[in-house]
Amino acid sequence: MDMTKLPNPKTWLVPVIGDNSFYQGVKNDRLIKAQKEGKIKDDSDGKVTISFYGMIAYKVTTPAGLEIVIDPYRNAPDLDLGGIWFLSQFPDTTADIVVSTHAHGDHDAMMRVPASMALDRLAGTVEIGDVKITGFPDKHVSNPQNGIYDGLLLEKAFEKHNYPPGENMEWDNSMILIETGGMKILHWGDNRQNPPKEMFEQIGEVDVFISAISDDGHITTAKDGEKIIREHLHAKVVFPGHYNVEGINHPFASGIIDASQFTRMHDHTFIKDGSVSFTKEDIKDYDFHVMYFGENVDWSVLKWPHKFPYTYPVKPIEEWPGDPRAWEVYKPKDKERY
Amino acid sequence: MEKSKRQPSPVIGSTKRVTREHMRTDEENHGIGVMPRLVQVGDVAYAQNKNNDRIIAAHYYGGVRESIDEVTISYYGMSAVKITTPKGLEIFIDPWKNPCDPSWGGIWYKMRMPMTHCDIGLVTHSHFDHNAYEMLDAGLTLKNFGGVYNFADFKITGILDKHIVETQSPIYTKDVIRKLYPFPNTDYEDWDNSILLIETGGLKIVHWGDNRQNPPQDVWDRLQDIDIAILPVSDDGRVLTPEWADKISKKMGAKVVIPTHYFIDGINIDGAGWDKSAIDYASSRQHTMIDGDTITVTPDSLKDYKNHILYFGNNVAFEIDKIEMREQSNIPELPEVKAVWENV
Repeated sequence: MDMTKLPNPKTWLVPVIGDNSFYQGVKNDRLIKAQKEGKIKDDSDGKVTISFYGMIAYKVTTPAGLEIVIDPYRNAPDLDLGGIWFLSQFPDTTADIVVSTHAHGDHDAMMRVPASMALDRLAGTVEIGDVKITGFPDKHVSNPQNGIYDGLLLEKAFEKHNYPPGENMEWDNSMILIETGGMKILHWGDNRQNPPKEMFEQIGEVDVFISAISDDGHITTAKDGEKIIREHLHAKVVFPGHYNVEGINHPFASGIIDASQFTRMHDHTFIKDGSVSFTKEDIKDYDFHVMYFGENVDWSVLKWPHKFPYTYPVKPIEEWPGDPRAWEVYKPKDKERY
Repeated sequence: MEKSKRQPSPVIGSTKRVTREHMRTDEENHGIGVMPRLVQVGDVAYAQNKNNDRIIAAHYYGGVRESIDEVTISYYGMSAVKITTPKGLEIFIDPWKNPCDPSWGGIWYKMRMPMTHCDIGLVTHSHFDHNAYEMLDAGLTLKNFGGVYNFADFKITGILDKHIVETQSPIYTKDVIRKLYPFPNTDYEDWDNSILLIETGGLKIVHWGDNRQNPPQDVWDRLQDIDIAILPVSDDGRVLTPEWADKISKKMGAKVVIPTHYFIDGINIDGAGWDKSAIDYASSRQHTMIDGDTITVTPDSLKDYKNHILYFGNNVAFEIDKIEMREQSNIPELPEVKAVWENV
């Protein structure tokens, strides 16, 4: 065997801190088009597409074709920050704009998304193409009141003070409001359940609420979520978020489970795909309608066949390809040892 | 856009090989060869000690102090500037660092840019002399920004265009730039850049990034009646030659030009892409040498200027570490060996 022709390509390692988009083949051509012409694609059906990637990572595709990924996830580079949370890296996807609500590993993997523009912890408004993005700066949840843990336990786990005043950037959060296709879409991030009432007044009523509601109430409990929706946002469509998806989330990371109970408690649709498209007209009669992606994400997750009984078709070891004694190319020709 | 169905590696900090549709050969890639695998640390804002209280205050109150009707601009070396709006918001543009991999452009700086406080961090493009936003203790960051951004008492328009390729300098030809900047990300004619137009306190300030000299007409249409043009111009024409800087500042009707992206003793390493400051450029035109690292401007203070150069020279808003190498008259004795093991 020619050892210079190993199956792996020659390469070298580069540790990258911070911005990596110059390594990613990112180009701003699509955004230039959006800035010049206000749109990327010509044939628009007026629909907004919402795709789910696991955790609370959602992609919003505007009618004109701009793709906005919010809160891609990763395992935090420092294991002291809550240990391993994910069994997989954030998938390869495309986007024009990547947005992060706050600096936690399950929300800030902007380096995994080859987007030519990044908005980190946005406050204020950004307008490009057919979208207006507004950031509402507030604070991260510190006392979720979910019966599993509270802020004091979190302080112990992270060894950090985690509520204002005096908390650090990790415990802040910007809610992201996307206005496109005539709809208002709010991404909650990990915001505290009680932002100031002025902030709710500024946000106003929304059409679509990408919430952090899960059955375990890791960020927002069903009770708090209902209060937020009924009293303030009056959302027509609610997406649960920040819940467990098999193959993506570590099963023992902070005890998160799914959001199916919350979904069943309300008028709901179980979405059979990783994405859903609608116009404002399509959802005009909905009131607090839960659209639940469940385990359907917009990429193929490898789910290990670890459940009993095992059904994976295992090849006998004798039939396994390759050469189990590959080192014998170096075997002396006429003796036992060199 | 196509969906990828590849299962990513579950390993923390795993190495991701950069894939491109048309993987280039060594020769096409100017000797860089194949793409590297990245060990990605990514964003590290979780390690910041400050919080977003100033941002929240600006959100509710439109600023963090009463307006002083003045804008201040501080220089941080390279293309890095901090613009403070009348109501106290600090906007930092283009922090710099050495490259993550020195084989791409070599080591450029003798020191780190110090960790710097700001409220809004902006990056014009993803080259390491502009994109070190991890060195900012920022309330929020916008990277490669395009569009219109409104917040508190300022408005930023990110005008998306492309990076300079052919400088038309006698030294920095396209081939030299390729050697200095062997980023294999895109075609050389096709690096990205955002020109940033900042409107605050009645002033229109343009940060050029490293944009090409000849953007399309609609870009020029947005860049009219500019008060302050922050241009990457140096005597050797590393990015903009003095001639191009003149043309660009005239075209924008700039009252004042602030040169950046030039050699500063103590920060920049000789031969790593530059050797000259912008002193000749400044002194051969109508100019003011700024005595200090910060200027305060108002629309009134600039109204009589036309293409006037404000030159910071070597004055930056932090202390430059300088190592004094001089001949010692007294060679010191070796220190005594301490028996550290005896304290255990």
